[in-house]
Amino acid sequence: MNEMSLSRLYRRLVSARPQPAIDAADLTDGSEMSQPRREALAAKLASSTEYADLARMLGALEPASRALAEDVVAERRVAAHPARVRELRPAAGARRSHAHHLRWAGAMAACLAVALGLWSGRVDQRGPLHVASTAKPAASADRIFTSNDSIFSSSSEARNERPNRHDKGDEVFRASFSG
Amino acid sequence: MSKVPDPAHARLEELFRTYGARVRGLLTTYGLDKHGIDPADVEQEVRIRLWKALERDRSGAFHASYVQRVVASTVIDALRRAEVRAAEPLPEEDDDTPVDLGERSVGPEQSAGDVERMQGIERCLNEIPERRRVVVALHLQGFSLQEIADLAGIASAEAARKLVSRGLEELKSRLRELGYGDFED
Repeated sequence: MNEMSLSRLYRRLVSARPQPAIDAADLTDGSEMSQPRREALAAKLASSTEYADLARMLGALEPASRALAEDVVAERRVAAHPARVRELRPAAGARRSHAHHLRWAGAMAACLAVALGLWSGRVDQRGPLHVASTAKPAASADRIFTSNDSIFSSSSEARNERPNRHDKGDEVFRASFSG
Repeated sequence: MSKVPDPAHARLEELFRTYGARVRGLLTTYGLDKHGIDPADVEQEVRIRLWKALERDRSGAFHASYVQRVVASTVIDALRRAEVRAAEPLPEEDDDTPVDLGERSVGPEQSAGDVERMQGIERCLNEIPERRRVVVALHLQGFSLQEIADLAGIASAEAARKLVSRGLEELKSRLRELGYGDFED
């Protein structure tokens, strides 16, 4: 039976010819195209089965492309939100957790240092107190600036009234003045 | 440190997967798989290109026209590769695989008759004024009246219908006069 479909015969005719050069932008610019460019595109699509099929397919795909673009933009907007950014940065979270541990360890170390400091301070304070209790008589033994020193005593009787030999003062000065 | 899965990335992947499946389905619906391209390959390439575009442009703009252009350029590239492959010489050794002769197998006599009729169609179309010739050719390519109006810059689908109708009548009349018989659309 003879093929009498104009459409099928025409498509077989043009598919056997070399395809015209076509650019993706020609197929997608749509209403933005000037009339001469539009007519040139129409002529190309009229003479190319492949590109005609592609153009028709793109027409059918347009709603899906629009939906995809909107969904992607919405998804990126959500992803760019600060709370989501924190959520989406596991490395930063891990770093924060690590820093938290470091801070905690640092605080503990500081507390320990303070406690050690206090303890050692108490030990230091207790040491000198013992020393002071034993050194006090020795300190009082220095008679140079005491009123009991014989240098500043007003009379020799006063010297004799002092029976405590510990308070006899500096012997050098005493000897030279009383002798 | 183990990598934590990014839920936003997973959602985008799902969006692209759904879109890619739609592209693959339409490639088959519109017969582009008959032009030597593999819809699965095109789908994968479209998804890769979309991901690259997304990573390249972090400003947030992602227009539908750009998505359409990615698909168009991917299919055009695939068609060109298929054309180059088809132009390459066939292997020398004998191959029992049947050769695809087109949309349907035809005998030599029928094929010769078809070639004659195709030549008649070409000749008669060339005699029609260009503006009318283009809209008739677009109609024969399968475009709807609205698509023809949009493509050819015609005011309305109704105006396109009138142009197509007159052009087809003229073509059929010429073919009849030349003895090719009565054609259907």
